[in-house]
Amino acid sequence: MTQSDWTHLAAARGLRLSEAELAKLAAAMEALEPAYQALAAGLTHDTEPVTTFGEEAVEAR
Amino acid sequence: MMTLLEAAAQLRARKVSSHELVKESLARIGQLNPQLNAFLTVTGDAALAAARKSDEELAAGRDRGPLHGIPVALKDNFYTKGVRTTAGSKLFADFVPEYDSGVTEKLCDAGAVIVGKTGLHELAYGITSNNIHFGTIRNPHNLDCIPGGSSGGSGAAVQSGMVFMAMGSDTGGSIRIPAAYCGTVGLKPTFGRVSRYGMFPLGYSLDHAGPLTRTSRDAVEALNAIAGYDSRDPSCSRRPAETVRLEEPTYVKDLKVGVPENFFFDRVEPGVEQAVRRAIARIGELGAAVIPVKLPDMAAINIAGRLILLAEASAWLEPHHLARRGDISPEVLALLDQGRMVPGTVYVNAQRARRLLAREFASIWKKVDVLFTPTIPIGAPKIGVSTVTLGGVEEDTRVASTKFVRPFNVLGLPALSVPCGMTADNLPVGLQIVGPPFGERKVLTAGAALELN
Repeated sequence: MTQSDWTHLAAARGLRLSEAELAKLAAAMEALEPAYQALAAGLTHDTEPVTTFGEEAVEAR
Repeated sequence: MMTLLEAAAQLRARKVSSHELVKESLARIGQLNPQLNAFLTVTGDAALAAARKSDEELAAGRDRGPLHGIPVALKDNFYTKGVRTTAGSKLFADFVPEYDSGVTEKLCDAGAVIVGKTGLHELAYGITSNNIHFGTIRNPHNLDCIPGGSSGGSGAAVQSGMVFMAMGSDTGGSIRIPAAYCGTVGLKPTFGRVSRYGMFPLGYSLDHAGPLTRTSRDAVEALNAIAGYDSRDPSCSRRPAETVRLEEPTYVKDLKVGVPENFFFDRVEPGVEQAVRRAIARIGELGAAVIPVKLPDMAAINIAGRLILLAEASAWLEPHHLARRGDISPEVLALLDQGRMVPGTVYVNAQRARRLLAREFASIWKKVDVLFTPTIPIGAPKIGVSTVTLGGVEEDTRVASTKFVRPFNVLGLPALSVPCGMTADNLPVGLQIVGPPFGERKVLTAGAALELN
């Protein structure tokens, strides 16, 4: 997610967290980062999001 | 313990009345609920009145189908008109809906008798059903163990014989996890096959509704009662409702069963793997072709699912999340905080990856009819245990419990968990049977074949 300053980001998102809560939040988000980067790297410009996940998406036409 | 279909047959043979079945159900709830905490609300008087009406209708020749007169329960995130619906959360502790959910309506139309509302993990956002607001729900097999979640009350209620069927919801495995940990059948239908109208959301694009039962054939009847288009749920499929019928005896000689070569057996408790391998061998002995298959990147599908869920859950709960933090457990609050930190770009990219992965996965159905996998790599953990060691690697029990089931929420595919044995600790093992879109008949056929044999 290429974000790192979780203290300021959390404050900007309206979260008033203790240091312990912030540390836990940062660890959880950082753990997702490499997997997300790998996921995003495989996307080509013509891959559209599943904006309405209905029958069409389930059947992967 | 009778199955739903056996009870339905006895009702029609006049060997038992709906009133008697419901009285027995209420007595069992009264006897076992103090230990199990499976039910949050019991609607005894209304259920007895409905049972009397069912008996009158059946006597008059008006038969609404296999669920007519059968005591069932709803997870407490399905709206019930005039009956408190909490979603297992203090935020909604006093919420009384003014209308029924689509599923509630369909069950009532089918003549099912709702005896109450089952407990769940707070907001359906977790796998333990260890609910700090409404108490710990326990596993009937071992009271020291979790029943799984989030539909833990439904799993405990069905396994302990309180009801013949209980509804669950499944966003990342919440029907199949309690089914596997409690030793019941649990069906997550294809996305869009069952209406979510009037069901508390968790992740809009991942939420499914489905039944927990004692057998696959019971699940067939529950599915037939609740499936079908509902214009009030924008994701509901417009396909004409198809009644699923299984052959008698169940025939699997034409069935091609895929067994994953990757991911699903990488880190699994030995007792779980043995039980699942035995089930695979058994379906082969019954005549099905067992075919090894290489699946796409399941870990990537899981990551996409986790990011989508984090964002979707935090989106709908935004008004409560910041204003009423004190009314949310630290565990769920941590997830809501994480969801608030997921940027829009990441959510969109996760949904883009989902389309790509779904397309890749679809090619599997050119080779096989169904997939067999373990539902969960472990038996039910003890209450309060948050990590498990598998293959020398320590895993969070939440991750271990969801990693084999979450992909099929992301892909929207029908997935069934059926009991297939016990671990060395005498805890149930679940076999997950996954099918192509709207392929419920195939997964239920495979489940029923194993139960008969």
